[in-house]
Amino acid sequence: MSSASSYVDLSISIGKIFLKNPVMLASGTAGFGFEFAEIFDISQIGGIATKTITSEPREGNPPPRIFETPSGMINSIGLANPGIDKFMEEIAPRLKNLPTRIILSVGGTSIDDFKYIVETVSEISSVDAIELNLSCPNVKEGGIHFGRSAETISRLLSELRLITEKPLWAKLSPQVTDIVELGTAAADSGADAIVVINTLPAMAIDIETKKPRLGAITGGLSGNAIHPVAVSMIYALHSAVDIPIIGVGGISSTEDAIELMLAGATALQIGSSAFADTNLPLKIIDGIGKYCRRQRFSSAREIVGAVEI
Amino acid sequence: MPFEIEGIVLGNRYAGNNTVWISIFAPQIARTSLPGQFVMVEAVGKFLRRPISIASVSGGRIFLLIRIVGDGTRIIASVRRNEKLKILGPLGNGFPENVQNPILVGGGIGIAPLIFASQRMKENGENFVAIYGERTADDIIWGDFLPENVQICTDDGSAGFRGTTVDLLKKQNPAPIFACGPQPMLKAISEIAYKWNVPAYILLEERMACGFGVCQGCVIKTKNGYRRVCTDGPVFAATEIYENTR
Ligand SMILES: Cc1cc2nc3c(=O)[nH]c(=O)nc-3n(C[C@H](O)[C@H](O)[C@H](O)COP(=O)(O)OP(=O)(O)OC[C@H]3O[C@@H](n4cnc5c(N)ncnc54)[C@H](O)[C@@H]3O)c2cc1C
Ligand SMILES: Cc1cc2nc3c(=O)[nH]c(=O)nc-3n(C[C@H](O)[C@H](O)[C@H](O)COP(=O)(O)O)c2cc1C
Ligand code: FES
Repeated sequence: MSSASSYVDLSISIGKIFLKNPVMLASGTAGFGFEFAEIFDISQIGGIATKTITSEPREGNPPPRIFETPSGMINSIGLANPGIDKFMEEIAPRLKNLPTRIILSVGGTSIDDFKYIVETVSEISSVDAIELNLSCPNVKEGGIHFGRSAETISRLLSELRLITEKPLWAKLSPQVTDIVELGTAAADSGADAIVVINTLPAMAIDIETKKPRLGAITGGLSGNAIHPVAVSMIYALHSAVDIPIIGVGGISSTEDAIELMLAGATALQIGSSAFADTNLPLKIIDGIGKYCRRQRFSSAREIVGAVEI
Repeated sequence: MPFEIEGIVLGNRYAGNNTVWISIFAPQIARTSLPGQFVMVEAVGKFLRRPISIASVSGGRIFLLIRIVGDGTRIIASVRRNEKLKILGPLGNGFPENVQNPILVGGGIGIAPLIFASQRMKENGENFVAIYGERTADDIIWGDFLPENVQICTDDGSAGFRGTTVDLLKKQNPAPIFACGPQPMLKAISEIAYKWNVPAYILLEERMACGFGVCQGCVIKTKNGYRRVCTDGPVFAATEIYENTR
């Protein structure tokens, strides 16, 4: 039951793209969207970030690939994906059947590799934005993540900006000493948005067998445990950059979502918490509307950065 | 197509050996499930759901046979009547439907999906042999829950045939096999199927995060590379997994 006075505008814009609401699914936790589309009407969410695609097919890491922790999980999937050729042939043509915004995540091993893949996927008309997974090792620089060096981020973004019209979202790695320096580098070099945070490095050991719990030994932590880290990084970035921030990290309730928006996130991505309840994104969209009514906000945009210090 | 539901628990009965038989009102899932398929079940307070085979369906209810092996299964097993559980299912590929008169082999809690398989075969008027093995008589699930005419075996002979499910299988007339249980058992069964020149279909387990194919977390090595247990399985042809099998 909605009267004119209780209407809340949930729509938001990220640069030139318009989302009907701020809630998206995070990269690597929603495949390419087809499975979620079987479970609920995905036209109800703001968008979906796809699994990261690389130029070569990647088989991924040896199992076990997941381990549950007291308030989250560690994964070592290893960017398993079919590679760009198979993606373009078999998956890209089907993306147009998904009635939501498609944010295509891509990864590379060098600046040239990123250029090749960004150029290739820019042809896909149903892709609304390209998300750069900067937690990929830069093979030419000794395997250090792209996201760890402000200089590399600047060079990468500047070069990519010249070859694509699509919005470029820079997904930063949280494994850094100063997230603001890296976010500023991305913003100043042409990124349309910053996505934070990716998983944090983590490891677990079985004390009886004395063996690591994961086949790849270490992995990335996600879920409730990393939420406060996301809040602090988004808060720090919000006052430093003037492009939109997409908040990711441990969103498992409306409260978690609102907290990231108050800290400065314009939009949100829900990752591993949707495994335990695939309806979570819909519940959060509903919850954001209710929060706005309670706070007498007429638009979800009013929440962004509204933390009172 | 899986359904995300909040299923009301209609009953929770002890079934012997740290194992419970839970019935849940889940009409959409009950209507569409096939033997070998599973559901992801909420373990309240845990970050991830747990994969559990559908052990039977009746009317709008699904039944789960759950053995307590850790925190998650302990939480699920302690659920009470009228409580709600977030459940996603049915998931994965069940046993093939075009196989005639198979032998069903369940090792330990691996009997769960085969109870459902035997129920369907009985409904279809098919003949089947069912074998169920545990270590000792004390470990055996109570008879009410087991397939009719099941042949029981124990390692120490304290109940039924003395020996493993594999030993008991060797005594049967050759027929296609549906099996679920520990990996070494599945491997040995696949070798028998090879000798018999019959197909074997095995239900594999791996830790899962999503259960519906999006995370790539549940892969196992097959002859065709890594495959997801949740959506490419959990039932695989033995030939896809083991060498020297057909
Ligand atoms: C397709 C499928 C169907 C299943 N059907 C049933 C069923 O009908 N009834 C039933 O009781 N159990 C079933 N299981 C196994 C059940 O999912 C695990 O026992 C459960 O996830 C363990 O959770 P836990 O928190 O209690 O144990 P944990 O504390 O996580 O682990 C306890 C022990 O169980 C092992 N384990 C954990 N997760 C799994 C897993 N997914 N598969 C195999 N071993 C695991 C661990 O290595 C450890 O040794 C099934 C598993 C799969 C993959
Ligand atoms: C199983 C799994 C796979 C992931 N794969 C990717 C990936 O391919 N690319 C990427 O940028 N992030 C990936 N992530 C990170 C998520 O997109 C997200 O940044 C992180 O999980 C934090 O959000 P959450 O706590 O809501 O899960 C993955 C996370 C998980 C749990
Ligand atoms: S558990 Fe996520 S893909 Fe199988």
